[in-house]
Amino acid sequence: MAAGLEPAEDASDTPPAEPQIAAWIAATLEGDDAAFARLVHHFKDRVLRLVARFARNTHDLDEITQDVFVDAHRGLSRFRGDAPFEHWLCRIATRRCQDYLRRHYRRRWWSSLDELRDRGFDPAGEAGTADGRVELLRLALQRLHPDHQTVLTLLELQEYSIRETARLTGWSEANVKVRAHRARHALRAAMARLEKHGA
Amino acid sequence: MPLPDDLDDLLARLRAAPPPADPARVAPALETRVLARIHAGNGTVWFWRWAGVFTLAAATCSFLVARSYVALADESLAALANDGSLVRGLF
Repeated sequence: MAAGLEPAEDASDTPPAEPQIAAWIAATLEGDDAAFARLVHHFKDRVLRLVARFARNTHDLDEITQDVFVDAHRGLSRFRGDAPFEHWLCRIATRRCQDYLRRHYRRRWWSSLDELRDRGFDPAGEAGTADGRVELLRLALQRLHPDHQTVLTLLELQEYSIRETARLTGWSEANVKVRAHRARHALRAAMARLEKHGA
Repeated sequence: MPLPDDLDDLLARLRAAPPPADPARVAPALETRVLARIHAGNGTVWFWRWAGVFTLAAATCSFLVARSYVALADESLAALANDGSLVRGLF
């Protein structure tokens, strides 16, 4: 199965036109694996960039991204085409990332610090340096409620607009603003706690 | 509690910093892995579908066999009751 399903090398990195995407979707629904491989090939960088903001390591990034495309394959018959395929795919990716954050939230107090130490970060020695504070901020962000992590990651790290964030999460724009305000406050407090008491 | 007043600056630095997960290591052959997952998933779905069909068939056969035994027992009891041997057997 693997041989022959790699997308053709002539596939460019520029986003394909919607009629081309619609043709690939139709072919996939008729059982053409090569067509779905082309969809994955053209949208994987976009999905990887988004998911990488949420994943804590490369293994998780691989898992989540695969889940996103498997979900997309399963739900392809429900794609109506009233919004660009990329938006639809990013909504699936955001949902998957939220599930991932919820799973990690339950064991946030020890896992985040272990992950930092695995990457060679010493909380006691480096907390005062600029890079150390960025790592502390990453740790503080990972300890926030999953909804707060989601809204801050999309707005602040991915630099999506309020409207785009609302579209990706399924929340109303007012809800996104409220959550963003609360998330920033929670992040400040978490950061201050970490700087005062250490990780 | 003192709050860091340079949160925007720190967030900008975090935005510019490379994420802990490396997309460049995941991208190669992602299509192949995704398709393998899809086909593995389809295999699982078919397994459970057939398991369901066999379970239903086994349950139906068991029900029919049990019903025929009940019918036989019912007839035997009726015959015994009719010729009075059931009552004699009980007392």
